[in-house]
Amino acid sequence: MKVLVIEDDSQAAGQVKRILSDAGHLTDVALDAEKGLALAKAGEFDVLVVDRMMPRLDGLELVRRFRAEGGGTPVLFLSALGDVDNRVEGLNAGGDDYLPKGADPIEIVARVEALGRRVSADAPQTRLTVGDLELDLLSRKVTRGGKRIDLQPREFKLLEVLMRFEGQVVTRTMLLEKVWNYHFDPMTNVVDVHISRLRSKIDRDFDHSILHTVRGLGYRLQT
Amino acid sequence: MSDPSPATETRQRSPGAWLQTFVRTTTFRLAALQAVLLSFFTVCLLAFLYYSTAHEPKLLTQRELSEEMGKLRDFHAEGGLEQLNFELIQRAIARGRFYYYLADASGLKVTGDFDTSPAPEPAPGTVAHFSFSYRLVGPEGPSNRRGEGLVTRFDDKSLLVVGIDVDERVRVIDRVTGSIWIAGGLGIILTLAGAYFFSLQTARRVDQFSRTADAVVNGKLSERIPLSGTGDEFDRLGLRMNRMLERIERLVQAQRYAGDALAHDLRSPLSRLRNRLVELEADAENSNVQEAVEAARSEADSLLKVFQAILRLAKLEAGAGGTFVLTDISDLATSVAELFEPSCETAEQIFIVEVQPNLNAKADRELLAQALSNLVDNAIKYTPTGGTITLGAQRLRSGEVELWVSDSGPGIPSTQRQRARERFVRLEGSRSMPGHGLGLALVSAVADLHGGRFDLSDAKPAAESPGLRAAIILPPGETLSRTSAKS
Repeated sequence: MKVLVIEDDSQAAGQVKRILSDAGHLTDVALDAEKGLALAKAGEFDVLVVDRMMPRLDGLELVRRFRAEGGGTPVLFLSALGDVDNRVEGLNAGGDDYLPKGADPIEIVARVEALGRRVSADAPQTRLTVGDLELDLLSRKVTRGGKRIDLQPREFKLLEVLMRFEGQVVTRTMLLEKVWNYHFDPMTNVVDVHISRLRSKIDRDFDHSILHTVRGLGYRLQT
Repeated sequence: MSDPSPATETRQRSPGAWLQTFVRTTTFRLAALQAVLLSFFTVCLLAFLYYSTAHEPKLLTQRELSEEMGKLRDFHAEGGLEQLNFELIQRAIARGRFYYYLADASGLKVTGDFDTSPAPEPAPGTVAHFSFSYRLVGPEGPSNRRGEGLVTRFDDKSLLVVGIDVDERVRVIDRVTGSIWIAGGLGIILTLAGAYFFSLQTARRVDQFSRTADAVVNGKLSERIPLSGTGDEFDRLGLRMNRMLERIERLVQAQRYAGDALAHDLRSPLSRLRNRLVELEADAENSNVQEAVEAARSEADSLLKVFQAILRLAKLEAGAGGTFVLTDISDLATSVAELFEPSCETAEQIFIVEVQPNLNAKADRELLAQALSNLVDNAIKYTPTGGTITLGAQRLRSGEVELWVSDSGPGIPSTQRQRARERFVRLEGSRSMPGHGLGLALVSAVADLHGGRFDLSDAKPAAESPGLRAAIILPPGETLSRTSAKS
């Protein structure tokens, strides 16, 4: 995946670049907002990571201009302004996701990969498959190895999100956002409890497990 | 007076300046306007009274006089002075209402009630109207009376005067007009006096407001506006100002203590983190480096979380943030219940949901969900295995919407409930529990931000373990229409 980091603070930019490069993504850095905008318009990037508070051109304004000129590349805001209101501002300006600065590296990688994937999986899917696990979005049926699995609506949604990001770490906060639409940190293990319930249904009676815990970070669905 | 505060300064002004200020007060101006209106009204009343009591009888008298004069002139025209004299003598015998005086061309009295003519010389060929006064000797002794009359000089130079007594009428009119003037004057004086009194009263109240404001400016945030207790508009304004001052004082205090509390609360995780790093330093070649690093990271994580919670709380307590739209509270409560239900099951607690349908209120869904999550999370933490947790939402009879969580845990004694809502306060017996003491403070701030309340009470009063019932009470919202309910 090709990622462009637009961030005026060279140290912070270097850190993000290192995190993303370690995860195997080609990463470019623009230390100047206007140069970044030009690169974003010209280059073939899969994801843009944009800081908000930059001299000369504010990140929000940058993305607004980029979108106004038809730029469709997914944008992840990475900002010191990390409140829900700031998040809403970011999304309204045309951002696709929003993370406060100081977020866990894995969280950053997971979000960037999720955004990159969104473009590739553009065609509407009605059926998701991971190994022998199948999920039909229309009939809302889930089977594994041909065996029918009954899921509660929320468990279904949880599994759907995990399957869409197959092979990739999905963090707890991402799950809270995508499954429950909450953007606060409940500071408890609520998500883990839901996962363990789901796991008992899709993994327990089968000889190999596909829902893995990535310690301290999140979960991954992988054969 | 050594204190040169602005409040005392106003009292040291010169009397002239004081009067100027006084005259400039709204109350005084209103009263002055009222006095002007009252005077105008008095004048109108006077005119009306004069017209109805005095003008009409005066016209009547004049008509009678000219009728009589007309008749006498006819007699003179018919038979000259002789005939007129005859008629006058006739009338004197009959003793009518009129007085007469007739003099011949040489000015000698021919007949009449007056010794000399009481009237001024009329213009030739005209009938002139005049007023006069005369002395009447009646049964009660002599008195000065007033009269009116007509006078004319005939072509033969003889002079005829016809008079009538109007003393009674004039007296009545004088009494009426006199009392109107007195009443009007008294009214204006009273109005001005009232204006003065009310202005003073108002000025005194406004002064109290100013003094309080000055005290607050000078840093005495605990100063409050004294209320008269009559519930008048000043009291109502004062009450609101006092409430505002209370909130400001509380915020300032919170700000003041937050720093100390923050330092206190962060010291232990920070020193733990430091100790781990020191251990790691001394023990670098040891095999469990990985473990120590992970422990240090998790320590740093929890610190970051506390920081984030503090920032969020500070923002909420400052009254900032939040997008308030009509929100389906039933849906919100159900969604939070659904989020926590598995956690309760894992903790082997009974989880009951009692949510009434179609509840709505102006709310920020995200904030309210977080507050409610904090309450459920607390309940799960403090309820023993096998205990019961209930999450409910209902419309109260007052129209308010209540979101509540009750548990069968040890509860919070009533004396400690106020403290439980403060930041970083961890009550006895909860120190061993995970958490940072910001949970209930956040719930309280969220309730405040919604214009609502946060109530803590016993779930089962008088029981051995009374449990806690925590309720967020939101002010009543407008009815949610079916179409907007979905959006």
